[in-house]
Amino acid sequence: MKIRCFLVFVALSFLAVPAGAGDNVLPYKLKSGKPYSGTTLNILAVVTPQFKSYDLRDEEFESLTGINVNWTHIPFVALQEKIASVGVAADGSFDVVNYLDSWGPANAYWLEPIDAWLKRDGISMDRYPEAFKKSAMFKGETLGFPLRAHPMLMFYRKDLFAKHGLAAPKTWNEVVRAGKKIKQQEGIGGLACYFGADGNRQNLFIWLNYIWATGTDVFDKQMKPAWATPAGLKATRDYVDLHTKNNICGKGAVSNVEQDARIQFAQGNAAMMPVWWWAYSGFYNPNQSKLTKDQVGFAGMPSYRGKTVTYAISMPYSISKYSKNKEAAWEFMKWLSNPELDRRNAIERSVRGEKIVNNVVTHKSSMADAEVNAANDNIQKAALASLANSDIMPQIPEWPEVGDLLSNAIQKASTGGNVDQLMKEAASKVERILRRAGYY
Amino acid sequence: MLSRPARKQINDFLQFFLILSAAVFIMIPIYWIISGAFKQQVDIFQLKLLFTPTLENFKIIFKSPYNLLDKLYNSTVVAFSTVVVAIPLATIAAYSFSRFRLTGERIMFVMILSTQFVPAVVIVLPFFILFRDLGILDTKLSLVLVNLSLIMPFAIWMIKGFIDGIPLDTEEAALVDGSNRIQVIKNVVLPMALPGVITAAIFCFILAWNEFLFAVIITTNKAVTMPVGLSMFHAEEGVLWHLISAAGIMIMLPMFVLATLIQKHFVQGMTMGAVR
Amino acid sequence: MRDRHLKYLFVLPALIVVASTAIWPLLQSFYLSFREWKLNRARESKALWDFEYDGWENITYLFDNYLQAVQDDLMWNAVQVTSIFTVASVILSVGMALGLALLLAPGGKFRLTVRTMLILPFAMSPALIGVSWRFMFQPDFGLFKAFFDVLFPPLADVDWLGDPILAMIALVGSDVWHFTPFLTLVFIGGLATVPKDAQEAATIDGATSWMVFRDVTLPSILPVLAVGIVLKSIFSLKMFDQVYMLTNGGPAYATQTLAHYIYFNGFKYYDMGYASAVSYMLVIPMFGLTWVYMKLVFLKR
Repeated sequence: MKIRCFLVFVALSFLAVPAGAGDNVLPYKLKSGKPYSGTTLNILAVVTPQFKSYDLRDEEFESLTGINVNWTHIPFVALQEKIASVGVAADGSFDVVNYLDSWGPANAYWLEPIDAWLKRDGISMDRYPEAFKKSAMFKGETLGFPLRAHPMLMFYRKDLFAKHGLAAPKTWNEVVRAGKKIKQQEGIGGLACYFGADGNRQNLFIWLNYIWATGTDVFDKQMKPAWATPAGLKATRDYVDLHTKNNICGKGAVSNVEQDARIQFAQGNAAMMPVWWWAYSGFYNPNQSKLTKDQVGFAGMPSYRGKTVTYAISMPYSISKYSKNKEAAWEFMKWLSNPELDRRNAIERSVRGEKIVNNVVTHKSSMADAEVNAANDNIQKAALASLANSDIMPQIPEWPEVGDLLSNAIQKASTGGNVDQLMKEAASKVERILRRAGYY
Repeated sequence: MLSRPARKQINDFLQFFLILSAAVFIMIPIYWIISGAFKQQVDIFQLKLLFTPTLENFKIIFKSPYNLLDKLYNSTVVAFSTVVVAIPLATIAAYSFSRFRLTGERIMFVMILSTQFVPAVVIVLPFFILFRDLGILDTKLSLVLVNLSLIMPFAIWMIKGFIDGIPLDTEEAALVDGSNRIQVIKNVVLPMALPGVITAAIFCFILAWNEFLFAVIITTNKAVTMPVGLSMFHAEEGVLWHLISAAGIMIMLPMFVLATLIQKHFVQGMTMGAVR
Repeated sequence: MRDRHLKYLFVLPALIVVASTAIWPLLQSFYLSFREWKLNRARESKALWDFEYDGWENITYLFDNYLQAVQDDLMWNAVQVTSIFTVASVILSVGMALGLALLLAPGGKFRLTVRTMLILPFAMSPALIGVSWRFMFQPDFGLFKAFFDVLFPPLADVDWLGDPILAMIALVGSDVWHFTPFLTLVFIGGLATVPKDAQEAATIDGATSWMVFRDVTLPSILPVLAVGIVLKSIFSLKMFDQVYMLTNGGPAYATQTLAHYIYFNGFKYYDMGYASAVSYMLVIPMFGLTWVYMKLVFLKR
């Protein structure tokens, strides 16, 4: 049975390749003639259904190339430490590694740039939305492929919004109005907020929407902190005011991290939540949520002062410089990132008998694909719109430390602290760190 | 003025009440964890006292991708080996520190404990590089070595504390009767120190069993332990509370059985102290 | 006497194990505290001070990590948090454990049952404790909310982990819950070595139970008590797991212990040299503690 399924996949994937591509040419621009047959590749990837399914599907690659693929799935909580130790080991124990974009610059010195290969095989990074593409780059070099990447969407309770005659919020002012109304009349949180500083800088996600909309950025051209301008401070105050002044958040706004806020929304304790698109299926999964599919709506991110700039995040795959099988690893990367796999993975709900629910695709073509959208309530279309004007966190090796300073300043502000003072203090601390690091 | 029996009764009741409230304080979080293990995922976010219990969670944790049985096995072997090596060595060393004057004993003693002064974070990578060079990354042996470094000092310290409390006179009597040191340790000191030695052994076993940071860096596939397995339940969608608590029970249960068995020794040790 | 050699023979194996497994990495990390080891720049550490280049007049470069540490507000914040946490958790857990041990020592079915329970909290992995306590403080459906809903409604909506003081109380609470039962077991073990006849003799002589405790029980469990205090202090000074899982140092550094600070600087901010230096600053109070212990216990003989 398994084998039959697999053969069907192989057949399908051959069909998907443009016809007339030559006699012995393999799909996905793989090298023909199995030059790396017998090689074993070790892959370090985060635990997520999307990659679990790639793991299950890799027989296709193995049979096309004769390369064996060995996956190690590490939970996100331990991933940063594990990646650092792989870099320190420098023994090629992993050929391909998967990491959060914010850690990319810090590990860039041992990640192999793929630009030459991209050029050789005629693969363009323009197949990804701009923000995703940028997330896999450092200092002008392409470090890998953004294979898991997310735009943000505003999820809201369709039923409650209809009940109170509200439309999906288009601006943050509308979010506040709707939030107040729902909190007053339903007794639940208007917005599921997450101001907790969790070490992954989650409370900066929405803040960046506010900051960028004012035309301010985190750093200026000289890499000096740029958020402490009057416009930047006003934006920060407005963001923190969601909780402190407008009081539209659900319970635990200060200590909640993104996961807590998601539970709050899924348990019906808050009516709106701005979060990654992948959270969608969890919001109506009866195992995790009290909500049904028709209660959960999504819209693009609200605008601030008439402008929408959203924040995007990705988890790229890169080849280790210490790998002894770089060419084979590149073959794997080509297969792993092929648009057909990307697409299929968001349509099929079962892989070799295992149930996999995944709506994450990263190719622009997949996001516009009718079949993908049909299978996922058009969330990809909304995502494409959200990504039209989006950016990522600053790509510098010091970002984890610098970002955490900001993240803690914002958490403190959300306990009722003085926003301006906290953000200015954070700016001077960050400046000191960057000066030490030799930026100026 | 209350009569003596009445005072005793009030005293007994007070004691009973205090013990009971301590037991309740201890058990509430435990009940919270145990009940989580039998809840369905959808019920964990509601504070229900009554729910339909399920055994599904226990089935899930032993299946792929969690495969906790392998991890349980690794953890058991690692923790057990560590204790088996550490406790006998620590016991004789502690006896010597307690009963004799050794040249440089204070320096030795402080040095032993001072190995525990530094947080694990900064010695993880030196260890990691060492094990890479020795070619023993991802093996149970490397974990035993790490755990020995973590528990040996505590074991020596704790057991010395217990031996210090044992009066010298019995030992001296035995020595006068012509027993040698080894016999004295075996027949006189060890039986009296046994509750302490066992307490130390449990302490060490648990420390070794729960060690996370080294395990996550050093192991990848073959030697993965329970705590690293537990971290698998910190999934993208949040903490899989129903599974993590089911796994938590798998950790607590052996300890509970062990502790119940060991209670006998505690009682035994005490009577020996009394009879002498 | 043969003991003269025997006594060294007894400590030798343990010393060898400690030296070979623990001393080497410690020396290694001490060495690294005088070097730059930034994992976000290069895999290997490099010298902070080079005699050839810098000369003796710039020897301070060597202490760069240490100098940076003493200038960092967040380091001092962590020192303060760690001190408060350590004092609170050691006093509470050791005090309660001693009381509980005295209550439980007599034996009997009820007491033995409770004693068996004592192992459970300590057997839980610290990470699991952190997660479960975080759940209990959850303001939407947590246990504490349910508690206060019934007992004292104004407290039901409190965001425990979002308030600097309450978060510290939560952290100390979870740690006391974790350690008190185990320390109780340790002290019961210590009480087992107290000569019963001496206690009985004192009681017959008309001593009150307080006098028996002070004059007979306390002196003979003093070594175990001292060990308990030192061990708990070391664990409190190095407190990491529950901080990481329960509060993650928050809100805004209010519960960031030194171990958490060190962890973040080492593994999250990739500065291992700096993390090593801060670690060695933690060694100072630990030595102080050990010194007090030695005074208490070694001089007794």
